[in-house]
Amino acid sequence: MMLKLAIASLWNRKLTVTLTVLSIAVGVFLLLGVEHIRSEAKNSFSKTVSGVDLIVGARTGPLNLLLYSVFHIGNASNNISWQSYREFSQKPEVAWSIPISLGDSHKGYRVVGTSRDFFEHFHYGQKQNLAFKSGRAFDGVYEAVVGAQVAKTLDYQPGQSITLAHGIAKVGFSKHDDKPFIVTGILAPTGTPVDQAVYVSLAGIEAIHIDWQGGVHIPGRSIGAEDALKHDLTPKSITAFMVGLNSKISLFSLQREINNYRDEALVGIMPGITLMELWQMIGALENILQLISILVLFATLMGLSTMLLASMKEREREMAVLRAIGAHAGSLFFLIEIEALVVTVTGILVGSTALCIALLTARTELSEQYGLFIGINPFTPLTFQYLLGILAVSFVLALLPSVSAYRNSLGSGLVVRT
Amino acid sequence: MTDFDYALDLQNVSFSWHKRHAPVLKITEWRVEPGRRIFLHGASGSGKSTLLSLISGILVPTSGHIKVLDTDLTKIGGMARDRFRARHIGVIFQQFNLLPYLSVEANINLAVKFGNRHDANNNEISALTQRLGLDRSILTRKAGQLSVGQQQRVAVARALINHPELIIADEPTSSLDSDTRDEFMRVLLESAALNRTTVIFVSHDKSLGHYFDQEISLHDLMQAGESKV
Repeated sequence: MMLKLAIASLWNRKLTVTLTVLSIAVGVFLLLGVEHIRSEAKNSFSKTVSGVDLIVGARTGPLNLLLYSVFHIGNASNNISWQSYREFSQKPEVAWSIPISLGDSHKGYRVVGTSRDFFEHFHYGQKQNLAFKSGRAFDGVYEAVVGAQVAKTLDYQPGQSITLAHGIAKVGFSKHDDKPFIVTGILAPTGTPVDQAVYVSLAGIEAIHIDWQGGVHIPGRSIGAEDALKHDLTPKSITAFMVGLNSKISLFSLQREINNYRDEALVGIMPGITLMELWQMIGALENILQLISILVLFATLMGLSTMLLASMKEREREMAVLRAIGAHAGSLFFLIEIEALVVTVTGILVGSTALCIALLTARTELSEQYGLFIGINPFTPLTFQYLLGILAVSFVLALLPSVSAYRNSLGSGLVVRT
Repeated sequence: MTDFDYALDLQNVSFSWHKRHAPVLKITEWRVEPGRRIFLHGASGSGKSTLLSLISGILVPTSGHIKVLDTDLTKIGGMARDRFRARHIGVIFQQFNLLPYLSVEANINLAVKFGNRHDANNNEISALTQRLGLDRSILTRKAGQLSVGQQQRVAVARALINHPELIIADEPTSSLDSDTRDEFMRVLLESAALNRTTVIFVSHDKSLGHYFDQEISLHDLMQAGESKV
């Protein structure tokens, strides 16, 4: 009965109540949104690479190397020579290695020059292998494999002919359109940046750049696709390579060897450790974001309390009527508390719904632009703890107007004195 | 049906808003027999509303005893007083008796629920409102949309729905014009007579006195006590 009464009374004050519900919804949206993206980003980042012991690139910050080699964020400052790659990949303690050559793109998606070892040895998530949804790995020079998202967005099937563009701008102005590639395979979705890339052989990368120098097409020197095959297509340099070891025992000695390599300035990083460094860096920012969203929510709940308290004056007569027909002063206390909780619950529902819609809408954008793979379900056991916390805070803050209703109804008589 | 001696029995009652202040109300003795219809008049600010709040158990006297239907309100707790009021006393205010955002039916039902009467049904409500000269169609309308005269009749219906032994009315006609006022008085007193309900009617308008069995001025009531001492 009190619930019905509370809802009817709130409905009678639609405008202020709606605004309060909306402000709570914004607070809930912010808090749950920050929390969700925080945990999902961590999750998404840490499952991107698995089973890779070392990533080796030209000497740069470990974070930078990790970001461009695995997450396709940012660019390499320098390449490493094929010699160095050969030397380290043939060491006895190395079980497998995956070369990576970056710098080209296809319709905004990064093109990764690599070897067939990539499909065999690269792991993500809980040591999951890459799988083909259709087709097979590239074999010839002008063959390409596309990630799941690329295929889905561009509607590619095996057999599709594609051209690569030089550089990584979405609208590439210099195209390698003289040497088209054929899509031979499409990878199954992984929920990692692998979905957002096009994979070709190192020879393919070499072939499309054979008549290029220093990043531009050499004027008057065009080598056709067929002619290019007659040249030696062994790359002179690559961007980075990933290493898997036979035994973890040799991890640190190999890393030291790489970092102290005399012929070239190299750096070898352990992806897990670098990820942890990344979290430590982002952690402070995350905490600030979380603190802000908690404060915003607290402010909106204060607003709820203020709204109820402000309405107490104009509702004195309502309270007097309820008292006259036999309501306890305690019932009035609960009436106001119920109103506060109804408003809060409505705010939570609106905010959560808005968040789900927002996640659904922003998902593609986030994965394409930032390599972040965010689930659309923001509800976890932790979220429910948050929501319970919100209700508790709302209850406590609503004590002020509720107690005021209780005391007023005890202290004054039947008639409202104005 | 009346198994009590007095509908109302006040002994040495005094009330002040603050402990140290002089009492705003002091009644040495006042008894009302069951079924009587009492007209209580007094100037505004003379403490009429305070007296009604005391009788209905919303306020508690600083000292003395107030017995309503032989129940001493000063000896039972706040919750019990609220339950007692819901069940045995019907209250009608000057105006704004109803929650404007609820339908007429919901307003009356609220009294039924606070009165904790599970035997009441909707037929009872529509029968009562019809007897009070209210059209059946009015039940589903929001109370705030009714005219003041209609609202006051609904207030009577709500006050009567739990068959209270005592009706307390605080200037219920002051916002009505003379025609609706006479109609209101007729309806109120006829309904009260049906169940031999005691009525305490407070007003500053002495012209209404002729409707009642007895006219008392609050001033005299308080003086009477003084003189006896």
